[in-house]
Amino acid sequence: MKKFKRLFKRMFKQAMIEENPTFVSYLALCPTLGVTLTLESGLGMGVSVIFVLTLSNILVSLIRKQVPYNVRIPVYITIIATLVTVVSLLLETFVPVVYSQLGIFLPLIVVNCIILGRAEAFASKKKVLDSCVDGLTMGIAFTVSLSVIGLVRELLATGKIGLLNLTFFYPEDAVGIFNTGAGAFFTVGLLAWIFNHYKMQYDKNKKSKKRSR
Amino acid sequence: MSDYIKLPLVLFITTVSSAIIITFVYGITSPILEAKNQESIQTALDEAYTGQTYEFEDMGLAGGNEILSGYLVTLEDGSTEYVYEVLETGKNGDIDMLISFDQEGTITSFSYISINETPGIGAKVEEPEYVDAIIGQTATDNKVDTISGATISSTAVKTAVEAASVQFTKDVK
Repeated sequence: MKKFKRLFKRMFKQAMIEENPTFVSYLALCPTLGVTLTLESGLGMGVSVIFVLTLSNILVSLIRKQVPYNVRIPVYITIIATLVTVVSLLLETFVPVVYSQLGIFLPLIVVNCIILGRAEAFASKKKVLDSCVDGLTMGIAFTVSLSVIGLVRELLATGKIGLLNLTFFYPEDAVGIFNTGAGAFFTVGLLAWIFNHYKMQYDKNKKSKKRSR
Repeated sequence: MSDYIKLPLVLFITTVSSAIIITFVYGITSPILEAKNQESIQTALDEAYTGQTYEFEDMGLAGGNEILSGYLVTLEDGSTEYVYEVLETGKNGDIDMLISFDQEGTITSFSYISINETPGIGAKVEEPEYVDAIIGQTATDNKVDTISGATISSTAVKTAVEAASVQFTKDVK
C-alpha cells in the first residue's frame, strides 16, 4: 500500500503536468470536443474513461507475457471493447441521464487514443501495479481536463453550473457560441495556451533545480 | 507451424471470455432495465386514463420502425382501446408520445412521455390548444397542423400521429 501511494504521487504529477493527455499530448480530442458541453457530461465521460483505462491497463499487463506479439492489437481492442460494453450497460441501467448525454461518444471510447496508447506504450511492458497506477493517474488527468473544459463552456454558454446548482448571470447575457463545436475549439485552444504557459515555467524551474544540484 | 495454431487460439480464448463477461453483465442489467421501462409505460398510461380502472396487454409490436410498442387497453365499461407509443426525432432529440384510439378509430388521448423541445419555440406543441386539436380526430382522416416557427417539432408530432393511424388500421382488421 505504501508503495502504491509513493508510485501514485510520482506518476500523478507526471500525468497531470508533464504528460497531460489533453493539453500536452493532445490525445482523444474527439470526445474532448464532443462531450464537454456541461460539467456533468465531461465528468461522466472522464469517470467512464478512468474505469475502462485502469481495468484495461491491469488486464493487458496481466497477460503481457502470454499474448504473442503479432496479435497483440486485436487482443487489446477486444479487452477494451468488452470493458466499454460493460460500462455502457451499467450506465444505461443505473445512470440513464449520463448515458443519453454521452450518446455515441460512449461506444467510441473503444477507439479512444489514450486507452489503446497506454496499453501499447505502457501496460504491455510494465508490471501490474505500475500499469494500474498509470491507468488511474492518466484517467484522472483526462477527467480533470474534461471537467475544466466543460465548466468553462457551461458557464459561458448558459451562465450557470447545473451540477452545482449555481447561477452566475442571466441566460440573456450568455455567449451562445460556446454551445457549438466552434466554441469547443476556442475553449480547448485557450486552455491549452494557459496550461502550456505555466508548464514552461514549471519546466524551467525543474531544469534549474537539476543544475543547482 | 505452431504459430498457425497459437495465434487463432489466443484470439479465440480472448473473444470467448469477452462474450462470457458481457453475457454475465447483461444478465444482471437487462431485468432492471425492463422493469424501468415497464414503470414508465405504467405511469404514462395512468396519466392518460386518470381515475379509471383499466387492464392492459402488450400487443408485442417490437419492430424496427418508429412505433415502439402497442397496448390493448380494456376499460371498466368493457370497451377496448388501442394505445401506441411512438418515437420521433424532434429538434432537440427524441419525442416520445403515447396515442390512443377507440374501436372506431377516434383519437381519445394524446400525451408526451418525454419531450425536450426548445422553450417558447418547439415547445408550442406541448400547449393544451395544440394537444386538444389532435384529440377527437380519426385514424382515417387526421389533420394535425404544423406550427410555423415550430416546424420540426410539429412535423414530428404529425408524422407520429400518421404512423400510429396506419398501425391502428392494420391492427383493427
